[in-house]
Amino acid sequence: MSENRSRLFDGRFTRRETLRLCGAAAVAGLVDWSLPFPAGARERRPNIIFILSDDHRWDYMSCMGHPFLKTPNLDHLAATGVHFRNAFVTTSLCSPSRASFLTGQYAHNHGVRNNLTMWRDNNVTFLELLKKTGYDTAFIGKWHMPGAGLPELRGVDEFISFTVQEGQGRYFDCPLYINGVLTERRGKYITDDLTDFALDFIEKKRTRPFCLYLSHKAIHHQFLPPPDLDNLYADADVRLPKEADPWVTMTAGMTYTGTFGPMPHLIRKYCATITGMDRQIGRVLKKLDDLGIADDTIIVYAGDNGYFWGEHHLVDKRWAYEEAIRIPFIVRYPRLIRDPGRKAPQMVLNIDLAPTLLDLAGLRTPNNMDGVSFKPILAAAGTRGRKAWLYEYFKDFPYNVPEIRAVRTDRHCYMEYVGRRNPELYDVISDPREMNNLFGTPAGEALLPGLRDVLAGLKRGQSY
Amino acid sequence: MEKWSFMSRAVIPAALPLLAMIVLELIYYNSWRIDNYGLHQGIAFISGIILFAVIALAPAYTYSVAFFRGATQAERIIASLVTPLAWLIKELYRVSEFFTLGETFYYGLSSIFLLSLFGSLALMAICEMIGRQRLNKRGLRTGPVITAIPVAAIAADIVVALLFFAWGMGVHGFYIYMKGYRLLFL
Repeated sequence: MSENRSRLFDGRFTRRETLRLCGAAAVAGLVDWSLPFPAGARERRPNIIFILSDDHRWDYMSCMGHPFLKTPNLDHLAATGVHFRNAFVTTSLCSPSRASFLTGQYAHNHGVRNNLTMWRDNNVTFLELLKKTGYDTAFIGKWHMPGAGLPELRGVDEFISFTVQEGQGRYFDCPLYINGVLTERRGKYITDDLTDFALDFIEKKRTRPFCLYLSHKAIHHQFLPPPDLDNLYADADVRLPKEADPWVTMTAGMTYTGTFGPMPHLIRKYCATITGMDRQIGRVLKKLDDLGIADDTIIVYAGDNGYFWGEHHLVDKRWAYEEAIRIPFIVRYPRLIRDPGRKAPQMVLNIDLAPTLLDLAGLRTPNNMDGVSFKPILAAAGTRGRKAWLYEYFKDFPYNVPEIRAVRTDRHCYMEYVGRRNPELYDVISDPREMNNLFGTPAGEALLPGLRDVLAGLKRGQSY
Repeated sequence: MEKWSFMSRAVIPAALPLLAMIVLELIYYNSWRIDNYGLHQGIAFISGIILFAVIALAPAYTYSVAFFRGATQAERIIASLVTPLAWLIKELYRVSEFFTLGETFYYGLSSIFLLSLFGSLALMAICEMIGRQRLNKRGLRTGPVITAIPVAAIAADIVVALLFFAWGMGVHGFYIYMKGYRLLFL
């Protein structure tokens, strides 16, 4: 107990001291009532906003040097935070990746192995853990995990989501379940609509810190931008990768990815949809500035998986190639990050999000989480990252992709397939587009024993 | 009407589009090896379109040629299905790498293959009626041009196209198909 407090209880304050203390307490009370964090708390806990997009590949931002795409707000976020240039998903597919973000677990542990396997109600999310320690929580946006409708998600005060089109939602007029009540949203564009709900949640008067999970449908196909941006990139010159051509979207079973038609047109729409989402992220950033809580709020922006636009003669995701496993990943937290604008080279994963947010909120990582907190990397640029991690993909009918287990180190990616396909091995530093398969070559043979050992260790749950 | 040899009335009309499909596949899938970007894009674009057209329109070509060379109805139908079936079998073999035998067969019932099959039948029906009309005109045949079976084939194709492609841009049909998958395999 502090000296002042003991003096107060002992009645040993002077009248002036007592008045000053009462005045301070009154002001603190008012502030405490109006701010999204407890102003009087000894250790202020941060607000948390996690924004998740769908199918946003890591290099489709203007700060990544994209030739025509404009993302000023994501660029601003990267300039004021830490931009992880080696961020990955452990399964490049919507449902498993989303479950990994929420639970901090690999797909083989949380059980959502593909877009057909059910979410287990005993899975524990970081929202639930934060709620238990006094956070106000909201899940707003895409849930998209198999099951009978939406789950009874524990630990969320507000749950706004959708179930139409098997949980994929619609860009326009998407009906929403608003805390269990199905509500028509005629005339609404979904990214804007979800952002409106997010802003309402952020600006609520509260005494506790908040955690907002804002999960967009964008930029999933059908790549529909808001109407005013529909022709934004109509004249953009789209150059496809060398091995691609406009008809890749219609070959080798890729018609099921919903990208039927010539690819350049789809890419322009994809980019306009990204810009539409970027604009809404700008609204969130502005709201934090307006409320004066930007410094006390952690913002994480991530994509749920990468995306091929013709690389390896593919569209969509799923495979263990770089275009599919890399994600955009930006973290801003002014109170912790001393060198904003840093481009962090360490490898971070979707399964690291939950442990990191818990760590930043002062909580320990539960033993059943596979990820590790990257808070030390946020605090100090020179912190060592992980050396290797496990990639896993499970069969997802009718998509034409075999089951994959792969190990990605800071230099190599070794992929094993279930079925008749040979393994692949690439040096991602000297061959970033993974065009030169080292499997079966003398160089590859020399690397294989070590990589196979690491892969076996990762499958057993070891960390590297 | 003169009846040509089996080779001329059935085998050659079936083999020509099949051969074209094989050659075009080879051109399309190897075009990216061309170093010149513009040349690669041009060849891939053109060969891709022609490949698509050959697979889609092969039944019309085969059926018409076989019809006027005196092939029987069974010969016409079987010969016309050679190219789309070859494409289907090639695709099923390819996906058997990923799926179980049951799943592979179920994959063959997905929208793109159903549309190919029903589209082929509809094309054959149209060619049948055009052929009848021409033979009637030349005095080589008497009888109605439009009959129930060709009309039913066209109608079935329209239903499949509406269900799996037009309705919600194919999304709803896909979800129905996936409900079937869950029912059978999960």
